[in-house]
Amino acid sequence: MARGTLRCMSMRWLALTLVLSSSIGRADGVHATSDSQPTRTLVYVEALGKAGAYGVGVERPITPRLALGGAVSWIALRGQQIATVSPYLHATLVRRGNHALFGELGAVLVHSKIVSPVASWDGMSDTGGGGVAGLGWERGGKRFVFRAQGSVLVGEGGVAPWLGLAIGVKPGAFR
Amino acid sequence: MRALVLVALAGCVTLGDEAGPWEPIDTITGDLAPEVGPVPAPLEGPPPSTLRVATWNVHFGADPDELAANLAASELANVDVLMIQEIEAWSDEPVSRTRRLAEALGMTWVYAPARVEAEGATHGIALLSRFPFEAVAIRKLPFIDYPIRPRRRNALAADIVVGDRRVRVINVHLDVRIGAADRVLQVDPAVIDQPDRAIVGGDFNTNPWAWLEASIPLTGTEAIVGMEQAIVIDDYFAGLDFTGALAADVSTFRVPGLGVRADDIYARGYSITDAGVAFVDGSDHWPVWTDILLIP
Repeated sequence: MARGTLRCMSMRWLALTLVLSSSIGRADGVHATSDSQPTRTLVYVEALGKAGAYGVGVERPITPRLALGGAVSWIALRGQQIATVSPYLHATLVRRGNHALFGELGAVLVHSKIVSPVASWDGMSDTGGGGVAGLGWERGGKRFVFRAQGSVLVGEGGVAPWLGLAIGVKPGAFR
Repeated sequence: MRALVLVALAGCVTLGDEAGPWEPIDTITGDLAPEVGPVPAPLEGPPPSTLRVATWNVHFGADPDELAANLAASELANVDVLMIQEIEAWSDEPVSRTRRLAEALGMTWVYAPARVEAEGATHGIALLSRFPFEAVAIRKLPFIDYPIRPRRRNALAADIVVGDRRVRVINVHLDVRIGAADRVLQVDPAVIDQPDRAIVGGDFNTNPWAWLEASIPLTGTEAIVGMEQAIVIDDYFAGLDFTGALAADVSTFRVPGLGVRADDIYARGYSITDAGVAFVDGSDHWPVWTDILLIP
């Protein structure tokens, strides 16, 4: 294995770990209060998750247990560009203090474009739509939220399992 | 935080080496020197008008006699040309596994090692034929460097001499955990400068997914968009006027619940009169076969 490649991969996962652990740490420092209920808009980033390789999302409560959300991502993977949009409904199924079990149901739209790396081919692109259903665990505080989720995605390419981790912040809690 | 996220999203997979030139086999020496079998005895009667060509990833080919027996009991009993991938030669075995397989099938052979493995073994691809070879050449394919177990890949080309005809056949074995664009990049040097009439086959490892750093298959993304690599590689070959033997949704890789068409055969300038998958035991792949009409 090339040294540069090893270093690159290590840095990536180190960075992800640092991002997650620092956020979790801060979330852990928040005591459970009535504000920990999902009554404020949540802004989050996902590793994997509904929007593919990663996601940036926002979620707006509509009732104490329900929220509407959306996650998006765009990524270029060595010649393949993938854009993903996923609107969804988030439901808190069970809450105990800072912990909650939640479910999500939504749609996913993906546009994939392969840029040809050779002169003899033009490349190709395709757009597809489908659905996502997921079940996850949340540790939430007054300002920060951490989520781990398992999902099933269904679309033109069949059915696939998927996982995701998310770190979120409630900007309104800082006012 | 923002910088860390950017680092996390940066790419690690790189193009290590470009493709090498086509090298005649008698110019390759050392550990990766090819092995060539004897010229086969001429077949009785007139040359055939149809060739049965097959490709099979034999998953190291540890028991060539069993592989040959399994083939002999299938629709590939009389295969004319066999493209083999993932076969090895070990210094502590009397002869190469390619030679054992070929002799058991009554064919001649060319073994083209792609890399040296541990303990004096080589790993590569091979062509087996009931007809003589001419113009045999090997080309190193682009080396895609990725974090976990990157592999050297090669292509093996030969003219199969059938009567007064020369049928150009190219055998390839591509990387596993690469995306569709890199797969096209890797196969293109094996295909691009071939004559108007040619047959390209092998283990293209066309799995369904885009890959995050050659480590994480984006299964969810593929489930939504349905643009699996077999469709992409078919489109690439179609653009070069090749016709594939199999549809994209045919499975050639033996994983329950996961339909993957990893292997295929493409022909240009010849008609494919029949094709299929032979459900032959002995590997994690099934052989793909096709009947090629030689007469225009």
